Amino acid sequence: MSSATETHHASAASVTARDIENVERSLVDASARTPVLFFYTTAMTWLILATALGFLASIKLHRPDFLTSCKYLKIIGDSSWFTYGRLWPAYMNALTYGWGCMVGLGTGIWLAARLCRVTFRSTKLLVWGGILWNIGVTCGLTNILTGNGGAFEFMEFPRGVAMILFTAYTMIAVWGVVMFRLRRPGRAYISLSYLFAGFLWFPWLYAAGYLAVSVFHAPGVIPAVVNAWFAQGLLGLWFGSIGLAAVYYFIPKVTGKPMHSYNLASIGFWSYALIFGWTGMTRLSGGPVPAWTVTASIAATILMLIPIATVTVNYAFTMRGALHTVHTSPTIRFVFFGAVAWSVSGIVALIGSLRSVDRITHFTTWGSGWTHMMLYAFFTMTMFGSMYYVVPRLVGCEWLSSTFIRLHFWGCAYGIGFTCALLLVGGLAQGAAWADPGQNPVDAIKPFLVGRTIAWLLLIAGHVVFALHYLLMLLRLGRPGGEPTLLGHTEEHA
Amino acid sequence: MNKSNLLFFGIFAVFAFAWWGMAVVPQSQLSTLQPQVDPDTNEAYPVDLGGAQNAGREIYIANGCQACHSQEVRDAHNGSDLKRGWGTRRTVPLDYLYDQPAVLSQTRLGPDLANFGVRQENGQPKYTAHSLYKHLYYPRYSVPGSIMPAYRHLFEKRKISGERAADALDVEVADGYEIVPGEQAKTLVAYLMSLDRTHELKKQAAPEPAAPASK
Repeated sequence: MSSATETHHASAASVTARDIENVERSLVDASARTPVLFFYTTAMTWLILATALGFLASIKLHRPDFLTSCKYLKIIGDSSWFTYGRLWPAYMNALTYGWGCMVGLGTGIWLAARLCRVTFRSTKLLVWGGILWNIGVTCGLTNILTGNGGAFEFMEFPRGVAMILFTAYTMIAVWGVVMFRLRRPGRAYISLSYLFAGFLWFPWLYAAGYLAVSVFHAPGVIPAVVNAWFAQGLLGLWFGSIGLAAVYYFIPKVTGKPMHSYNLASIGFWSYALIFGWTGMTRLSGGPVPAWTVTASIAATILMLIPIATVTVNYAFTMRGALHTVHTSPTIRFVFFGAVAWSVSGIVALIGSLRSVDRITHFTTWGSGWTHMMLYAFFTMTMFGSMYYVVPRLVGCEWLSSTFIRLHFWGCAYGIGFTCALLLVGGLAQGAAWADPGQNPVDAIKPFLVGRTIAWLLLIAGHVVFALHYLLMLLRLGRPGGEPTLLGHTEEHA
Repeated sequence: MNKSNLLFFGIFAVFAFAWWGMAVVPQSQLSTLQPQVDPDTNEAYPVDLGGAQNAGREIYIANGCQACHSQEVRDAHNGSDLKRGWGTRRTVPLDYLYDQPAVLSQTRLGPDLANFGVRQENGQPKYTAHSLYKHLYYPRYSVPGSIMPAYRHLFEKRKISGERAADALDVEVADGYEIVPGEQAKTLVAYLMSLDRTHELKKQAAPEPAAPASK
């Protein structure tokens, strides 16, 4: 292949510069080892806990008397924490703040260090921040399960816990600012813009959301309005920023091809930054809120076509001619899946925001389907891909088994694919039943809920395999360093 | 340096713009709401029910009722809320003036509860406090196939001493025992039975022509 030979020539010519760069990189990686592995390990723990909570919540939704008829497990079955109303928010928060934020911050600081080419001189503050964050999430989940949770999506943690999380975040993000200031001149990476933006937006979003809802106790529907803006921002602007930073970093990195167009990436970034923050009020479409806010959000959701198109064109054209890496590289397989899911979720959001569709899908599982597309199919899959790249560079050995990686991928890909499809299509079925006063929507949605529990089994399989694989890496029980673990046969494409 | 300041400023500005538009302006717009007062009867709507209602709402939230129940009636062209008898009109921001906070919810896996206290079925109140206790204790007694959790932890199981308590539920229970609503169940049921957002609105707020103060 001509492009392959070209890169070979280039690398032969600048071999010394390459070497220096590699040494630099390994120094950065070595300095990031402790905090990033700490963040990743706690994230994995939360992922397993979230998996358990989510699975139980899913069962309880179609079998509310689960475990109550068994004589010995009745004590669990009848417990207050074992009701759907508490299991569900506990699952969502464990997934968002436990897994999502920890893995996102881990990947975020690693990426920032790499892109700024700055080594961490001290990692104490980062690690203490991480410990504090984990304490916060533990307290928050305990509060939800014992009946001290709040009423709003992603804001169920009480304000005391929010203060812990905010402090922990500040301790971690201070590093982001330091790195950005100390960064060594080099090529501008769009990933860095996304990271920088995400790190700046999150505390603002979190503080402004909690101040309005839980501190100043704004009356009436105001908290609901602020929460709609907050929840949308958390998914799109916080997890979205970190996920897209990873997409823009890993696709060119692993395929060895430069990003298709930097100008396009720039347009994609700024249009997304400008528009996405306005899309939240579609969540309250038709509700007791000022009508103009909903109209503005629908317009913004449609305008999101601009960033969706530019980002999609950019990663798709970068991948063109390098598609075989999806077969071989675990990182690309997961990250590309995530990138495609991001584009699809934007289209799903657009369709769902239209008044003629929202009339049917409002109040149904459609919304939850979209949330899972953003939080899991896009963000979580992208983070899995990042971990496949980052962890070997931190522990010094390669992933043990390509079969494990394949099991992980297929379990999660099919699991989340079915989950999203069932929730979205189930939402349509449920919405059609709500629209007809003679029908009982519970009957319409039940088969989909049972299906989701089955899809959970696939996700569980994927997560357990990955957790085991990760544990082996922590114990340095991987393959000796050097060649990365690839999936499939490389010779047919070499 | 100049370039990164520009980046910082840009990132800051776009977020501020969305925050201002989607959070600050709606907040200031909504915070000007005043209760409407009927000029003839001097009757104000909504009425602040205060502490008891807040306590009930807290139990409602603590048990995650909002995970499946909304408190928001939508217009006739947005689903069948009105046909299902969940309300007489769509709900508006004024209806939630004293709710701290309004638990609108974004998911319905069960019926809407915006006007639960005045729900009718065949001309009769759909639930009395007593039948609602039974429903909360074990929803499948009253609605077979319901997917609602059984809120047994809101009730007390105790030995019958002398006479059976007046508020004991007629549910299956071991001999010599009775199930009575606990403090939380009582507060929650009082809250649910108080939910009524059917008050007629003055003309400017109501979408359809409102009759003046008909009682």
